[in-house]
Amino acid sequence: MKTGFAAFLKKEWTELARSGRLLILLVMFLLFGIMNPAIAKLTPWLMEQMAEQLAEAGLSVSAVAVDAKTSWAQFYKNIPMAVLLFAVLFGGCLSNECERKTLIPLLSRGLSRRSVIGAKALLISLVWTGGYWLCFGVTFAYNAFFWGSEGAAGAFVPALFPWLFGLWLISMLFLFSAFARTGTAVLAGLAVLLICCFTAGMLPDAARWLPTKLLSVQALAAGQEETAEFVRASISAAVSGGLGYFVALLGFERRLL
Amino acid sequence: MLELSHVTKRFGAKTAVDDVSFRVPEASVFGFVGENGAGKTTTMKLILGLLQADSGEIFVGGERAVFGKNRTNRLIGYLPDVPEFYGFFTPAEYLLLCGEISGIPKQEAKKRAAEVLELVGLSQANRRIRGFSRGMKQRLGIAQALFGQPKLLICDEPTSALDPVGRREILDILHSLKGRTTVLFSTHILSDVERICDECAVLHGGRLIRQGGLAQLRDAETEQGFHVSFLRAEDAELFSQLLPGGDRTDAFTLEYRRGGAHGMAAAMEALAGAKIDIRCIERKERTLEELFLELVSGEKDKKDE
Repeated sequence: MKTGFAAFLKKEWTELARSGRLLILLVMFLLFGIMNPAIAKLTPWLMEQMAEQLAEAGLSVSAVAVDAKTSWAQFYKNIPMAVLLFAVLFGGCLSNECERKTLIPLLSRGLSRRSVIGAKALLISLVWTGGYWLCFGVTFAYNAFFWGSEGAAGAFVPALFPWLFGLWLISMLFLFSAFARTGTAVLAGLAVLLICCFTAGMLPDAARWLPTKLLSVQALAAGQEETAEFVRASISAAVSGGLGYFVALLGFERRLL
Repeated sequence: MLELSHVTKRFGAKTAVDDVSFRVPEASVFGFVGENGAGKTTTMKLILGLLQADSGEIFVGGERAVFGKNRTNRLIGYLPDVPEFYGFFTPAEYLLLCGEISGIPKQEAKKRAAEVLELVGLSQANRRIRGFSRGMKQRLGIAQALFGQPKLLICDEPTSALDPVGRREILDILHSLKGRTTVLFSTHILSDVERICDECAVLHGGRLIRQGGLAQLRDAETEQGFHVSFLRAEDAELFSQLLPGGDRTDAFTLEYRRGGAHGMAAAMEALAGAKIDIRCIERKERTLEELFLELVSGEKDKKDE
């Protein structure tokens, strides 16, 4: 099983590189990383440019002060978009293979179904981790360059939660992939799940426990919230993520190919 | 090498495989014959553990095949009806992936990949699979199935997508494996079975209606017929009165559909007695196709009753 896992992991990596998806992801995360400080840096200049027009409309613009916090706020605003694009890119990673029957020759020579899910989940999680922290690193570096390293130490902890949310979403992606016939069905499943989470999140008691809470870290990054507020959501993401993989493995073992 | 015992598989109300039992002897080429939808692919997927049987047992090389687990698959090479591969690999890279999954050392895998690609005529195709024709994919499918040097090679209609030359090549490859690897191959092209198989099983409507050696199957069914070709039309007419039961296929020929060896001896006796000169008398060999049609129509008649 071990050899099957390593071989399939290598295949996944080759596919990622040769399909051009790795390049797309690299560009996407780099752009997101650059965009955050750039938008923060450009905001005062943009406001200045628009001041005249705004004044005509009866709005007066005073000097806009921006700093690293503005840039981090932008980072946390953009991350949900990056997560969604990431999910769209990988939505069909398992169901497409089932649909095209490319797994059959490999399974029929002894590759275990667990290795299929395991290798795919590991690589996608690693890519998410790499991409996310690259984006974080770029924002961090530009922030330090523009506004100095003041307050930089506090930037790391809030960033852990959206990363954890991404890992949770990947586990949900595999949960749906183990049963869904197409990539579109997987994405539809994820969309319904997120809508349910956001709806349930309107109740404050439930919100604390929902993995979607891990995305709302702007207040934490601004120092207006405590890290302890995210413990429950982190635990529930870890537990439901683990359960998601467990059910996905069971489901995929029984799936007709 | 392979044994199925009372295997049944249903999809909802439809029984795709109905109480099928058969044995495939080691090192034989075994034809699995049936019309489209007879249950051939389902049976093969059951053997590979890709589908779960509702009842019955399957043994490969003495080990029980279990749905979802692939232990027995290390003994099997499988060629699906429409093999699909990763388009971003070259054939050699794909085979090396197969080798790694099967746990074959890299050097050995490289050697084998070169050998099987040579065997199927793809040794020069050193480009990505994405641009391959269906025939080329079929040949690569055979290469990947043979790559692991399996004890049992299962091919699902390997020749149906190929042109006559390609078909002949594939049949020659399968034939060359006789005595080394057990081959189970499904088809609805009966001449392919006649060309290379030792034994065959006939599947119809999910049920196994016959199994045995080809000669045995042909002989065991109904008595075989014969035909007599005369030099003169009036002799044919005279003989049809002497030995009734023959059909005039043309002015000079009488065809007896039944009678077997005894009937033919009786005909020769009658010819000698009446001193009738003939062009020839010939025992009629039943083709597998005729046998298959007889069996299938016989089953349909039984059902109608």
